[in-house]
Amino acid sequence: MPGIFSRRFFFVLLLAGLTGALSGCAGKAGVYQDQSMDFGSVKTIAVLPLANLTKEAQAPDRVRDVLSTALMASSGIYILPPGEVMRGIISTGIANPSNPTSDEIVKFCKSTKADAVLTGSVREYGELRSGTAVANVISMSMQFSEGQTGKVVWSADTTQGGISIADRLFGGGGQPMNVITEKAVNDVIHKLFQ
Amino acid sequence: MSSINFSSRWLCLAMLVLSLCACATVHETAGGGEHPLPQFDAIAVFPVDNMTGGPAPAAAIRKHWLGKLQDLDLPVLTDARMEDVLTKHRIRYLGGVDAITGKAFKEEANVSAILVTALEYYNQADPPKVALHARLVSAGDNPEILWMDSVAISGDEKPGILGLGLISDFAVVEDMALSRLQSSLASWLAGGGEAQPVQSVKKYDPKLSYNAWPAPKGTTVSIAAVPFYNETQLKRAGDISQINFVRQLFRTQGMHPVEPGVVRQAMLGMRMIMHEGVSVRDADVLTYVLGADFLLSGTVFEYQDVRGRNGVPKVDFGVTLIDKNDRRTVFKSKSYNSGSDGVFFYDVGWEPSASVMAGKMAEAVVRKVLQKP
Repeated sequence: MPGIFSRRFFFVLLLAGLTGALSGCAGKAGVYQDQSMDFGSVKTIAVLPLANLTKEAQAPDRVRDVLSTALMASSGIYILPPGEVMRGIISTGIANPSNPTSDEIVKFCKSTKADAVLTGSVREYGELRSGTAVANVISMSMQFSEGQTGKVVWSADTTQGGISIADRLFGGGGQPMNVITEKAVNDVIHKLFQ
Repeated sequence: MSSINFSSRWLCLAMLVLSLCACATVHETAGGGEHPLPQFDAIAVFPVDNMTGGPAPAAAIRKHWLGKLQDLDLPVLTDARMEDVLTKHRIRYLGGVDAITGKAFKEEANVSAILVTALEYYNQADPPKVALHARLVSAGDNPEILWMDSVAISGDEKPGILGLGLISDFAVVEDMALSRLQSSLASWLAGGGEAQPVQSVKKYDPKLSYNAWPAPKGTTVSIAAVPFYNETQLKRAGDISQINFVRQLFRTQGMHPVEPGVVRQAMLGMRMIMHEGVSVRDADVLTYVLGADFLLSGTVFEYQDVRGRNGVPKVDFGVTLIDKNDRRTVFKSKSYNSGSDGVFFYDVGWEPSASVMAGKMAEAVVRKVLQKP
């Protein structure tokens, strides 16, 4: 009996409780969200071309295509076709479509009748090597800007794929790039609707 | 008495299975369409459109194709007469039939239909490969597709036991491909374009899709497919994707694709430049000019065939379908596949041709559109 209620037992219990309490105080990791924003009022979104920080020239367009389709498929939000987005960019004269200013966002949303825009960047896309192990990886960040003021009301990032223990032990090259991209996009969407 | 009950039970079961099968499949016509069979005065066979992005023996393939057509006793227009019409009207685009071309051939050469053939892929090295698309388009002011089919054959698609089924001679592969097209055309000419249930392959289904297809009942909807926005290294992957979808739309009952040549003419007439795809305004004008109900566009990210025995063919594209009435996207999907998808043992299910794979993926997309959201 004294073994069960020993000082060490109480110490472990206290540490576990403290850890739980501290993790409860923490916000969502890698997510910023403006609490005053009513995301339910957003019906139409334009996904602007993403910035490319990788060596893969196609990476932003591939991610954008998956993101647009996944957003339409998993939510009631309407995504403007890419051709319409490009028409809006040209007509409003946005100098850097992957990183527009607040004024440009407001002008763009008026022109295309979008409620908000999604911008972002692809930070890593493709093969990752470590010693003899190889696997695919994707890392991206997204920002959600409201159309009336151009203010960023949500921001998140995600990283998927990479070299796992199994990849190090057995090889295999990890998961296909398309699968990882879908996972990353789903993670971002999950964070958006959380 | 018991035997009667037993047989009637089997009959009921068979009927149930048949009815379920009918529900589970979408009927497609085997290259037929809904047009009555015309009486041909003459058929103009256009030079083979080389879509391979490199040099190819298009003239030799056309000569071989003409031989196959002569076996069908079709009244083919002489090359000299065809050249006269092409030269007189300065017709340079031979990958489709627009209103000007159709009218010129109808009025000046008494041509009833024009056969357009496109060479998608060609490789003489072992294993030889060839992929062809062919369609018969009515001549006149309003060109319409009468028959359409595609074929892609690779020398290693059916290796068989101990590799006895491998084909290393390109001439054999080419002859097989043209014979299949000939057989399909002959079947259509004989009136064999009835609806046939086609089984879908799950692995080619779109990986992501949004579907708000309004499903118009009892009417045939007209769909204009524009060339896909091309992000691949293959120069004409956008045109190839367009043809793949036109073929699938043509094979599907209740859908009427606009002849790609007519779409091209309308786009040139409007000076339409696609910046990353079709804008809503472009879709609005294009559907109005073409009299289409929907506009199908997309982006092709990967269209990769492989030379030799190593490597895996890959196809990756996204599709957008815009409704003319509310000017909104009613269907959007993302598809990607490689030839090794679903292959676990002894290359069973291996797909050596990107063309075949793209055709099946397009078929799966069209099937998905028709499914209730």
